[in-house]
Amino acid sequence: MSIYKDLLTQQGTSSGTSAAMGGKNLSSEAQHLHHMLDQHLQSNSWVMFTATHGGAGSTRVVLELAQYLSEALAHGDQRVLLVDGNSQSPTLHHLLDGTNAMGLSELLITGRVEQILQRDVLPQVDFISNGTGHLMFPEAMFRTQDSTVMQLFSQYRYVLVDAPPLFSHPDALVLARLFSSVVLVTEYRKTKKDVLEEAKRRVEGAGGHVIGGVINKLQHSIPAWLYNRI
Amino acid sequence: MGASFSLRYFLRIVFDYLGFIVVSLLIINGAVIAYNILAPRQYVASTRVYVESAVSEVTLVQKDRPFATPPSVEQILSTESEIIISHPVVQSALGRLRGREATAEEASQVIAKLQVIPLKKSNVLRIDFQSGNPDEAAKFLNFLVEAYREFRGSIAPTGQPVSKVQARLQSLRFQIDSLYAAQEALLTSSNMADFDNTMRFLSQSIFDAETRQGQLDEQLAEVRRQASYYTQELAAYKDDPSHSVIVPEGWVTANRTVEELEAAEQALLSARQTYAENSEPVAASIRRLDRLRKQFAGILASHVADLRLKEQSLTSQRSQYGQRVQQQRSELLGIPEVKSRTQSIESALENLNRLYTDLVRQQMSDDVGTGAQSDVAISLLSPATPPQDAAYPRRLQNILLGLLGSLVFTITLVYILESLDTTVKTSLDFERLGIPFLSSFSKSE
Repeated sequence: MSIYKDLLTQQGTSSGTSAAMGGKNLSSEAQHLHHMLDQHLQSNSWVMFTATHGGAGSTRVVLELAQYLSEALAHGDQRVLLVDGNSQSPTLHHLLDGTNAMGLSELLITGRVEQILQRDVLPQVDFISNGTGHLMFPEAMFRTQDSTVMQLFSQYRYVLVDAPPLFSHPDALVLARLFSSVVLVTEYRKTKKDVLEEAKRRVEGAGGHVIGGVINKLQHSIPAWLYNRI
Repeated sequence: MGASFSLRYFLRIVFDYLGFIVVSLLIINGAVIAYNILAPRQYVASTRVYVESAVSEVTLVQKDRPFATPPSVEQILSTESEIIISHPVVQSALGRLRGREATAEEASQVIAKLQVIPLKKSNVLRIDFQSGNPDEAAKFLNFLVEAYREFRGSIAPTGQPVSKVQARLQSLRFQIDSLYAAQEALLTSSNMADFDNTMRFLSQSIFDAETRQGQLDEQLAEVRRQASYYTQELAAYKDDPSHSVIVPEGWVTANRTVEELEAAEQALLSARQTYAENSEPVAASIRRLDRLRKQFAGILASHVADLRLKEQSLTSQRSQYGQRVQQQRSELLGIPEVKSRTQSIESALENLNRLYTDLVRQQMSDDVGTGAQSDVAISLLSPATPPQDAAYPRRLQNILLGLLGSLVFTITLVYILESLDTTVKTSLDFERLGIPFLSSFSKSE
């Protein structure tokens, strides 16, 4: 089990108890995100997470949401598919103790799901890494209802894609067009408002739809004892 | 909810910039505290003197300055203050303190630390002196008061030399008197004490004279017409004694003569019917008729002469009225000029009088300042004693001001920094851009 997986497990077990960070814990933050996503998602539950710049932490947000959903869906038969779309610096397979030998790029070319899909990286969560090949996105494979990818995605309650930063890799805008529902991840006191506005404009220009934004690395400067009293 | 959010927003900014705020407050207040500790201590010694003026209305009159007003308490205290911080007094006091003669430069440095304050609604002057040595401050002040009193006593009484101001006053007095004389002469020569009444009188008089001129013209025309008529009638009568001359009813002498002529002509006619032409009665009637005819011609000639005389008289009268109208018109036209000259003289007089009064007051002030020995009495109310506590630096005041100033400075700076910060910080930033806010994730440790 990877270090990050250990960390998530610890946080999960301690959620709601002593892992308070500024009045919230990781589980409650992901829970809130899940709740808001359900409100804003429309046709399907395929969501792409992208940041405005590198280091904002979209991978972390996707992972924590997946962790929460893993716990939330533990007693049902609904599943979550986690896709690493970050061809610039794929890291999810490290964090989830998976492999990157074959991934999304190979899936789009070969259509061999069983060889590429990494099952149960977390309870109820399957994973497709980025792969080693260059990402080629034949849109027809996505858009055709009976394509292998579409059939695979349609088996999952949620498909969460970790995309590269919007302004540093063109794949992000291509993914935004294919997945249509986009969550913009910003970094507290780092991401500028005009950059965020430009990101929204670009996503919408590419045919995507920004369903919401997330602030990551939020620092609760007010002490919890004071924050809870006001 | 709004208030809670505002408070949270405010506190968030405070805690976000807490480090900066603390450092800023520490630096500024540290500097203030360091100044309080390191700044040299200054002690302020104080003394009070009572100053009273003996100058009054009576003394001014006695000094032949009826125009001057006695100096006010403020003027006296202001003058005495200037004397106290004057170089001679300060140099003298410094000399006593140091046991040697002080230079003007040393005196200037000391004067900068001296403060003379007239206490309100009183005749008291408070003298403060600031020094690093409390004993020295008190000693110097006592020497200063001593030197001041001696200096005040050494000044010569007023009225000895004729000052420049007095010479100027005499010159002004002469100018004022000259102008008064010129004004009086002008008014007398033009006989115009009251310009408006004079103008009204002259206008009426000119109107009356012109009316009278018209009447005289009418009379003259009538007299000339009669004179001409009777001259012609006389000539015609002399040529032909039978010529009938019309005589007005009121002309008694002429009417009686005409009646006698008619009677004489009737008598001649009767005599010729009765007597021969060469007879005595006829000759007598002819002689009487000739005599009466000559008499009537004489009456007519006399009347013409009278008319000529009357014409001359009327012509003379008219001429006199004409001259009078001309003269009065000339006077009327000259009034504005006289008025203007009088006004300019009055204006000059007013200015000179004001200048004169100011100079008299200045002279009074100078006299008080330069010092009538008997005009000002000085009493020392409280001698200076060494102060126990330092007056400067004012620690509590400096600390409070530093605290307040640093808070204002820091808050302003934080406000500016926060205003310039355009990064994403709250859900509001998303809402303003039309992006739904989904969640936030805390920074992992």
